[in-house]
Amino acid sequence: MEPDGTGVWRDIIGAFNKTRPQTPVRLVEGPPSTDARENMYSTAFLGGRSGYDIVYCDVVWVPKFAAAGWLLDLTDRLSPADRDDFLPADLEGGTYNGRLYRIPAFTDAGLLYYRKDLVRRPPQTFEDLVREATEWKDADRVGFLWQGKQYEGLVTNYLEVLWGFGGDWITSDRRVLLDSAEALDALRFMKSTIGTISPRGVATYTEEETRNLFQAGRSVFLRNWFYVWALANEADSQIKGKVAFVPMVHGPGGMHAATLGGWGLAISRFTANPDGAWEFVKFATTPQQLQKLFVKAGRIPARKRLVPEEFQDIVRNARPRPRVPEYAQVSDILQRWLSAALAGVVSPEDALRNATRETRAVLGEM
Amino acid sequence: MPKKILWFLPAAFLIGTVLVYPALRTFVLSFFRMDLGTSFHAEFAGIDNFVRLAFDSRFRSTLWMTILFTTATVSIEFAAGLILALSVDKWVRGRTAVRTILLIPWTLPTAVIAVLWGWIFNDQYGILNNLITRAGILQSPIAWLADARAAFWALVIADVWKTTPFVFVILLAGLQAIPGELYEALEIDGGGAWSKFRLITWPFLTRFIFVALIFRVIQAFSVFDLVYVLTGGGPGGTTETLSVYAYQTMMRYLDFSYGAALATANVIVLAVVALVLYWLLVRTHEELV
Amino acid sequence: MKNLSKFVVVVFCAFAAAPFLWHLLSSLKDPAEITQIPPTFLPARPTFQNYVALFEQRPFLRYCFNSLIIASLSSLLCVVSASLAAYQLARGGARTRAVASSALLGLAFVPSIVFVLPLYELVRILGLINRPWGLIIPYAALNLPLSIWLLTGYFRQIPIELEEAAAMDGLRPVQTFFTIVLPLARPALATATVLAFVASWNEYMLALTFMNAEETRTVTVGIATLSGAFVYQIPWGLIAAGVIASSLPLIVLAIFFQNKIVAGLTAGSTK
Repeated sequence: MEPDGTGVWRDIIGAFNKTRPQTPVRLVEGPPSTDARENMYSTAFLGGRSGYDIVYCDVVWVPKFAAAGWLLDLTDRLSPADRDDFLPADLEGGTYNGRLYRIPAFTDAGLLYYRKDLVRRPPQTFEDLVREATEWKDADRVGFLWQGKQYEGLVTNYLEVLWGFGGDWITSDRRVLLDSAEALDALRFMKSTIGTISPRGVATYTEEETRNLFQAGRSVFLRNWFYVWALANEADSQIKGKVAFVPMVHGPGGMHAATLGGWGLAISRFTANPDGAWEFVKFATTPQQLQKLFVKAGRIPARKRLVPEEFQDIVRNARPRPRVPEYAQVSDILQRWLSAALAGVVSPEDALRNATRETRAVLGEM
Repeated sequence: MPKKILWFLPAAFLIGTVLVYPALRTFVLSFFRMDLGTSFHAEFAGIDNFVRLAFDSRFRSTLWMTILFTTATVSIEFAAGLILALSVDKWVRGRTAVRTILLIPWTLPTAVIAVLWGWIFNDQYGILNNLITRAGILQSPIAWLADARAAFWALVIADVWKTTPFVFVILLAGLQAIPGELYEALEIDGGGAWSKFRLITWPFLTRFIFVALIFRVIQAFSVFDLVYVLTGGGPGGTTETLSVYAYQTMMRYLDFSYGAALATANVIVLAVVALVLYWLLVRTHEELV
Repeated sequence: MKNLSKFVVVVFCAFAAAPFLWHLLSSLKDPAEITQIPPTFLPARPTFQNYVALFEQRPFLRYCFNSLIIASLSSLLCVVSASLAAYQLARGGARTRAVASSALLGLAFVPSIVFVLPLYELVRILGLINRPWGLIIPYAALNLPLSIWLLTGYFRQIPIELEEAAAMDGLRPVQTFFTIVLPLARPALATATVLAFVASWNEYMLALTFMNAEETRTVTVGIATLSGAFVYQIPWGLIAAGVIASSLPLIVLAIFFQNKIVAGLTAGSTK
């Protein structure tokens, strides 16, 4: 899994190993890059038996891993009580073709943070955002920070704007809608922020750069994930008490939207000890253990009762990315063309046209 | 007769199972379809993959990037290697020590070299940007790995650092094989440094340059480690080379058949390039064959 | 001219050595100093904590051990197989030699990407994923073409009279080979072994794909996948320490065997 800086997973694993000394679970820390870990899992699974037993699984990996036949079917192992208690969207995120493969641990969604000491009324529309950002930005403070580097984060940013305009990327019956007017409007909007309310560097930023700048008071608005909330309100934060959030704003006739993220635990089909693995997965996703994630790492547990009040609404309405096995490929296609358009290498129209064509080629095969 | 075959067995076995069989299988697989959609069963698909290849913009851009990279790095390392060899050739003392120092970059793993240069090229903490701005060459730091053009040159610089020693060593050996009397004879006839180079050094070196050139062009064309670790093909896939694209297709998209087609295309292009190069060099220097 | 050449050499040597020195200095800095802007040159508070972290956080010693085993065994296997085949080629007909030469050279130049997937399949079927032999055998094969080529060239230079004399003395070809020819070919054998060793140690693509468990990783892959304590942090000090630590064995090797390495590289051209 990702590097366990806060030690919370070691804690959880340690607690489990104490109750089950005969089948201890071992944590393997990998690189921080999500893609790198996805590749590591893939190559391990391709190798068959010699892979990992338990998979620390991103929500977007489920279709691919499940379609490849690498994950154990957990549908019948989950008790009905638990099934009710987990957040529906996250549970759904762990299913493929109606079968459950991943138990969610924590959920995540994109939010629009803003400085409530500057912006009096919470923004609702893109126009609100642009207006407030333009008004409150100055020499030391930019208007709006988001993640525009070519990676998965760019896709999550784009989706929120796209949904805000009322459009969509890939429907549940695998139709590609990138050639719609809404898709073009969304891309045009993002491009229009560069150099106006957003700095030029935004096309190279990922989560941490933008968070650091926002926390240093250098921006009015920030689009980022849940984890920023806890950090922004820490004792030593410069903007403590001055931050509020809303779900990403929308266009006329559109709706607020947040991209669903979040990680969970799945079990490899090749494990030598499926029952032991299931014991761990069940243990690690109990409310007591998940609460540790919240306290120590600021993650929002995927159980209904553990979601803090202020996030309830957003969590309920978070939207998943397209649940297709070829997700890695179509995401790469979208990332490349969005990035090319943002960099001005191609026009937004051409970018979306090419992206649509290539995505259809990939999906059409199935 | 049969006795002799036994001598070849270990080598033949190794080459057959590790090199020949996989290569053939990759080639054959490129005519099938084997990916997530077919649940990893192989279905015959004729030339579908190659048709897809012809319209694949990412194939074209990675091919172009590979060609650009090869051209840039080979030209620079040959120029540098030649200058170095000519300089060191004059030395008598300390030649071995110098050769050893200069050889070290070549012996390091390319992947580690990529990590090494990644730190130097870091746009915030990297020493290179620091030196550039301090020296006043540029006002603001270069976003080495975040800008397409800068990332390309970062790759070239890192590759030149590793492979110039290879060229240098070969050319130095060539220079040292030239009999000193030839130079003396030319001097007596009144020839200066430039004539010496043009009439003696260069013709003698062509054989060595030929060998090194073929080796290096082929190696540069197959570059994987450096790109995968230093830029990952970024920013935005702009520095992605053919091998990286093929690897991602196989390991990340699990599209084994298309990946095989990409690998096959890679080999075909490489073979064409090598043959063209060989033909060009042979045509102009027939005495080499 | 003399001064110009001196200048050029100094500049190139500096260019070759500077990145190392920078990493050496960086590896001795603590995390606070290493992320200082502008970067400092000499570490203000030199510390070995990065090296300690290298050995504690990651099984670095294990990586080195893996690389050592794999590189040694594969280069040995390679050179043994290569010398047997090369001897026959050297003593055989010119036409076989020419055909074999071209075929081998052609194979040597095929990029690894062509082999990786089917080879992975094979290695998996044989149950060798995450086991050293899963890399030892492929590496031996990958280095065979060049080794055979190198050794054939060298064997041809050994006067055949020695073998003829041995035959007259009643020695069988195998005996002649081991007792007379091989000892004479020691320099070439050493060269081939060293080159194969370095190539195996440095290989990345196959090692990355076949050895995916932490304990079986090679140094080369291990260094390229170092990570830090936090998800978003990159441990530059640790990385610098890793680069230095993983380069040292090769630098030592290069210094001791630089003759052999050079001989191997130039073998093709001085025919």
